[in-house]
Amino acid sequence: MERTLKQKRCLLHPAAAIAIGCALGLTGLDAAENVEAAIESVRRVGTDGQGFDDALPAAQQLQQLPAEKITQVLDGAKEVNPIAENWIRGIVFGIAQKSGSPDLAVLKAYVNDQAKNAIGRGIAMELIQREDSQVAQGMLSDLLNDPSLAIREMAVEQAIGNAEALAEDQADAAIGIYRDALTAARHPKQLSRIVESLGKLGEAVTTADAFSLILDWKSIAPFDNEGGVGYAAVYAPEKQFASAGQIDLSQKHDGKAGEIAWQDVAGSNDEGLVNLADAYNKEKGAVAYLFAEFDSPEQQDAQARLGCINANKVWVNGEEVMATEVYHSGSMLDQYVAPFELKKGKNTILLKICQNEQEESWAQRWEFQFRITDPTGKGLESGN
Amino acid sequence: MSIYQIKKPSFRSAIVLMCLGGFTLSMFSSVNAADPKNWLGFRGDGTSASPSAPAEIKVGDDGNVAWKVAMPGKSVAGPIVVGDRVISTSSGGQEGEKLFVTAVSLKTGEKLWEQSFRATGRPFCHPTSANAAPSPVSDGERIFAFYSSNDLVCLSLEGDLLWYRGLGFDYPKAGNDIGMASSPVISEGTLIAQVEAQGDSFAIGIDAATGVNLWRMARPRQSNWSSPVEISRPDESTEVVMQSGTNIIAVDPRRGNIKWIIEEGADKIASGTPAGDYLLLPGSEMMALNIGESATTPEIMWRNSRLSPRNASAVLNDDRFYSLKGSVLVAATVEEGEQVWQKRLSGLGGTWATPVAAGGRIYIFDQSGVGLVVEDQGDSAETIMEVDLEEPVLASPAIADGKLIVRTNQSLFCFE
Repeated sequence: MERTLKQKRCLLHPAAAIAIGCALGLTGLDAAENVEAAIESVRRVGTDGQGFDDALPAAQQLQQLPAEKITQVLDGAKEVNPIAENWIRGIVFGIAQKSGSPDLAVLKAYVNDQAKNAIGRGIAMELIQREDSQVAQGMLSDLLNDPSLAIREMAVEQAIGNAEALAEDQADAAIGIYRDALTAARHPKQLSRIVESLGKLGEAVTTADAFSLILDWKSIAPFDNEGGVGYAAVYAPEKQFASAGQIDLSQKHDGKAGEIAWQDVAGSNDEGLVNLADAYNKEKGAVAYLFAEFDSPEQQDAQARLGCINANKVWVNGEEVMATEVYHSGSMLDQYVAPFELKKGKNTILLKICQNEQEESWAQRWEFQFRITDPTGKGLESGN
Repeated sequence: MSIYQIKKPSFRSAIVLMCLGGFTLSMFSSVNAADPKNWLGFRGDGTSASPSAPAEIKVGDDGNVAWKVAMPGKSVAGPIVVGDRVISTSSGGQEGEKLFVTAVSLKTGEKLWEQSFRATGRPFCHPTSANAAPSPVSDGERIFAFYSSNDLVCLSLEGDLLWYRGLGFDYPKAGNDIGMASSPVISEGTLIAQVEAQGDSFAIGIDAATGVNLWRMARPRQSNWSSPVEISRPDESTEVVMQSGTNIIAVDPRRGNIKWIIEEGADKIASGTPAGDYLLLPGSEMMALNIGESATTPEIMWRNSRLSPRNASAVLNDDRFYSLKGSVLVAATVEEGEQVWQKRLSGLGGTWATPVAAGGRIYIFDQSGVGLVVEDQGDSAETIMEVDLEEPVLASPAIADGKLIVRTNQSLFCFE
């Protein structure tokens, strides 16, 4: 009977086989291929509930697996989207809740094998932290530059903690640890904390330097944004850039109240903040365009990272890479992140930063911070 | 308003539903939100009221703290209670991107299980808030944890993952970076969430059993932190009322079609409170709607600008309600909208957490962790107890089985 059922299930779509098995009360995944099929169903989940029909029974079945199967599930995290990643996380922790974690030696080997996928290794490291924080600590001290961003973040966090403990009595040792962590860190919050801590120890490191923020811009403003018309309006610089990927900085344009020209604006040396309210006399209902060039030594994947409390758009080499029509609703470094490709040689960047007409004291900021990073968040500098 | 999508469950979905045994549970289960042993969502059954709670809240050696448990992160989300489990959400990490759902025993405070996820949407929020801001909700069989990043987790009562949605991933322009906080509701097997901000602004109905969209509708593009509220008609049909700064609408929970609309803005922070035949809606004026018969637009019975709360939602106590206006508590009648008493609460700082009420007492916490027990003495009120939990409280407490559960920034307290 069992053989007959298995044969039948083989003729069906793997997920359908799991569903029927489940409906018949077969709660165990008794064959390796069924485990793989169930993992594959979970890997396929996407946006808007895509693939949930198959993934729901698969997730239920997978959570009945014994602890030693966790690494097999972790393997399923290879190159999955963030939704599937969370399904796999939930399944792994679901198994661990019922069956316990796998042997620590197995998890350690999994984390130490950099050929394994980064997401799976990160989840394995969390399991180790839950099981034995001392073991995790020992491992993390060697993983400061790990290719898994999750593991690297844990290692940087531990390094920051170590440096904090030494800061008062052994400042030089603390500075050394902070410097190593500064090189390794990718998360903007961690970078900011390290910069601040180094500052307190007398080390001259600015946020602008640590993040490789772009400070020197050409700017033209104000164009009209009264009633919010400017966000969608395609003013001359935008039209020129979209068609040619370049800007003629000698050209003057019709602005909100007459002819306007490109001028230099610079970000602050400490925070790299470009303050347009100061540059344009606190103009309200206005659009500013900012232009910069960026030299890349090679063609490479990159990210545009913008922190901006105003509505904004960003183009690189004539292509729009991000657009956000939100005003005065929070701001921080790396608030908006968009991938793009840097070409070898000169690249051109155009920003559109829109100020609205809100009168509240907290709605007067018209400013931004911008940088280009590699896909891990490491700041890139023009020419390097 | 336009409905983007009305999706009937597919045949395949039906198989999955039957397989999981969830269909009958979600559609026909008789979980009673008013059962005093449960507190299934933000403000319990929506009223913030329960028959009984501890007469006092005291910490220290002679106090009545049954247990206190450290949580894995920060939260401004109210805890819920499903049977013998207290469920609380937290967020941690550099920006609140680490999401936690923790279950502890109501009786002992023992941690039963904990799940953790990674935000797929924007986790940013004001420093006083947290990614874990919307309160979780349960249909008695499943737990639904929602976050400011618009991540939505569905778990079994045992902590197994049932499904996971990333509404911030699906709709990347949804949300705001001050933090979202609207708590979802469950109605007729549908999880209904308001995801309203300057970017992609919508309300959504998700099938509780399968996690797929039943409907999604555009909402005004403005920040809104108020929560949807379920109301019942005399014929036992239900509607979910959603308010915004632009209008008030009621929708069919399963289909998302609009049943009625009042073209008048309401509060964007404090939520509506069902009060028997009435629905109390805060705004520049507190407004009482007489819910009335099906297929009719509820009638506005009264308005009173002096009864609108500041941040917290109104709290029901039989035929009267309480409205917290900063550090002033006002009691008023539901039917007439007439003020009964007003009490200035000495020692109370800024308040965000909606108070809860039981046995003629109102339990109020400020954002520094100071808690007051105010006794409604009919024509007046008296503060009968003050406690300092020494941790911020921005989450509305829960009351279940006579116990008061308070979620502070980093801990969970149970008073008995």
